[in-house]
Amino acid sequence: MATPGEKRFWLLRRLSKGFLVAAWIVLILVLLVTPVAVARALIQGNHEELIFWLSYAGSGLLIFVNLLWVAQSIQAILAIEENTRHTGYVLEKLTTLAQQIRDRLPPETGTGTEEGSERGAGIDRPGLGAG
Amino acid sequence: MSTDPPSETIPREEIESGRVLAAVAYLPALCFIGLIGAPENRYVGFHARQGFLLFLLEVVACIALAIYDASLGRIPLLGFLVGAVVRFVLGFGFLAATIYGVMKGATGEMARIPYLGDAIRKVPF
Repeated sequence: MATPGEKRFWLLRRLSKGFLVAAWIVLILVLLVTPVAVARALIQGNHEELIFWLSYAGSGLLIFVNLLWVAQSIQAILAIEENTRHTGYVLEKLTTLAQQIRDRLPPETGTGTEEGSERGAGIDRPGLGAG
Repeated sequence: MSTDPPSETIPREEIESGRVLAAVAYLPALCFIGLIGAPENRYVGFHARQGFLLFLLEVVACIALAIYDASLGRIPLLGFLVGAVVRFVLGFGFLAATIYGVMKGATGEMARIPYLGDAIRKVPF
């Protein structure tokens, strides 16, 4: 089942996946075509063709890196957003819980501490201990 | 004509709802997603227009470099060296501007990219 975040940014998620798939397609094409073409150019001794295919591979790799960079950037931005929303949700819950705990506690009075200090002082008194 | 609202006039909810689209707007050619996804959100609109300007600049730089490669870039050694240095500087500059924009967009700030952000009023949408 899709979370609200997934529903909200479905276009961005699909775009990211699309860019990722396109990047890998470009890389596979370059890896399939270039070695064969370069080998043929080397065997024929055609330097112009060799330079052409090397520049073809270079620009293909550049397109691959660019597509990958865009796809990963979208995913990173979405992950940060998701993380921020979760953090906000957890903080809100914690604040509510802390408030509920504070409400259930008996109200603090000023005498409590005084009594405590008196009790503590009593223990220290000689004669009241193991007697 | 688009306006450039100061950040304090935009409600916090509007900024919170548009943070992702504002950050994505700086990625190459993705500025239109913000304008299509949230056309009424002024925060997204600000960053999308700035992202559009950055994208436009990238396209212009690409065309200029292609023209350079076809003309002055053919000068042996010097042409290649100058082209490589210009490519590196431009690429690094665009990358820095993109990261800066994404960071500001994601954190809810209406920060202008230096030099580029002043031209935002000239964007026709």
